[in-house]
Amino acid sequence: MEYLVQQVLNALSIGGNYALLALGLAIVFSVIGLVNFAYGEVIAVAGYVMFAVFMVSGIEYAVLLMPVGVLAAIGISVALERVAFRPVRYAPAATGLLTAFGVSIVIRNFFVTLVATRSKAVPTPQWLGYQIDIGIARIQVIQILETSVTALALLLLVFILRRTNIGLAMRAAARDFDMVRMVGINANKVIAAAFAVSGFLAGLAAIFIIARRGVVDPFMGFTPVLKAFVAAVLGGFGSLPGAVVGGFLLGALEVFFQIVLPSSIAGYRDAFVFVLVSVILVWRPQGLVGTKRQFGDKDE
Amino acid sequence: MLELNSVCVDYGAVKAVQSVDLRVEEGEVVALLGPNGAGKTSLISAVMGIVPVSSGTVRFEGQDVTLASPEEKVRRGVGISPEGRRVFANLTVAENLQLGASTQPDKAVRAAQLAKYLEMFPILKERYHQKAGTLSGGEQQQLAISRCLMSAPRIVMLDEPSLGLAPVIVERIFELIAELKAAGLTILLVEQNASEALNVADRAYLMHSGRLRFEGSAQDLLNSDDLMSHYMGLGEAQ
Repeated sequence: MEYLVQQVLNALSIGGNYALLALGLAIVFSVIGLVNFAYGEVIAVAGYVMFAVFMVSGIEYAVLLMPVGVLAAIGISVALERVAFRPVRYAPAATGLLTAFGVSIVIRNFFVTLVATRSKAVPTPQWLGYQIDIGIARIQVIQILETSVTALALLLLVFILRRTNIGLAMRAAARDFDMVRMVGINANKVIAAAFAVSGFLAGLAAIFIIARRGVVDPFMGFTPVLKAFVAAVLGGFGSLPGAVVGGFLLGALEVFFQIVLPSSIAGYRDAFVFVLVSVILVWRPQGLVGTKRQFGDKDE
Repeated sequence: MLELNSVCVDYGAVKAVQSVDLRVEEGEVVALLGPNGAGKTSLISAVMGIVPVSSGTVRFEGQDVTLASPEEKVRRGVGISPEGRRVFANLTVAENLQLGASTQPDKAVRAAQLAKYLEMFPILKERYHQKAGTLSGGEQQQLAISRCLMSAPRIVMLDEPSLGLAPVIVERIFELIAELKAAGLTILLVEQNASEALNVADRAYLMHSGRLRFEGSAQDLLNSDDLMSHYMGLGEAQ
């Protein structure tokens, strides 16, 4: 029983992280049809800014570094849109994709050249690793935080998307961007808002990734974003509820295979996960939550 | 109020609109007629700024707005109910109307506008919390028109408001247009349904293959069997 509860919490915290990142990818895709493969670098930038602030100021209180990381992620996400993606906004989708790859390579090599390929230590609060006994299980503080912060972020996002004008505009833009402009809403504002939300989610995810690893390196965002991309496709790419469902399901699958695979083949866990994901996609090509294209939908 | 001077629209090598001169005066209802593929929607889209004007100028209230973005045009007072209605199907009627009022900063004015159009389009009040995608074609058309009116436009461009609707609904839509006209709204009405459009319009333009073929009073066009049969494919004007 205790083992089961612990594994469920594992799945929730891993899945929560994927859900945050999958949402970040999905919200940008749904608004402008861009698959942002530079998203991993948003995480890396958040990590390196935390590292830089730590080096310069000597602040050891990791809790103070966390908001810095989130703000950095929002800033770089919005800045990338302005500098890199806006000039190719009306180009074919492949151009945006290649631009994202380019941005990704430039930022990664910026860190490789100016900092180091090796990882750099960033202070993380010790109490994140403390274990709390809740009777039926012993759980780490970081797991509780990860799960609850993810839940809060999702609630905040739902509030923004349902109750604010800019949120409504983002949802409307997912269906028909030109029509959003024809009711007088500034296209740049909606897109900047989507990138800001996307950056915010990456910032939160970055904090947990760093808290677990204790270090930053130029490639730290690659694997999480790759997994998040799989999660988003699994849920139905472009669908926001789908991103959340896909994120948590992928987390659960990983934990499941971690448990059931004998240790001799445990190294192939991801292969098993991806085979199962492929089977699901053969059964539902539009993803679990995604809907089939309807007349009047965007044709990206 | 709205003045187009030799406006051309090209899609690559295809010339969708060739050198169109058109004007709409304040308080007028002007019909822009023509068969499918005549370039009417291309022209409207270019006026709105959704597709680029390749040459010529668009002036609104004396100012050159040829290069202005769609959002800028809406702020200046140009409203559009586009072809195919294009309501936000994934949002509720309430949310669609809220987005329509995006350019109106004053909350009290927004509320007053909303009350006014819910009274004018009572079906929207009934469907207020339903997703727009669940509405019938006629209801969606009313939503598209009222969404456009929520921005308190000085001129409204209605692109094929009767397209794909049952005759009884078409009649209702044209009644609404007549009501808007009576309220003093300036309207550019794009239609294939020539007879209904001409009954409500003051003046009319006839477009065919990207060019204007006729310009004059709605009455003259109604009475000209030759023009109507030649360009609209009608046996005779009804």
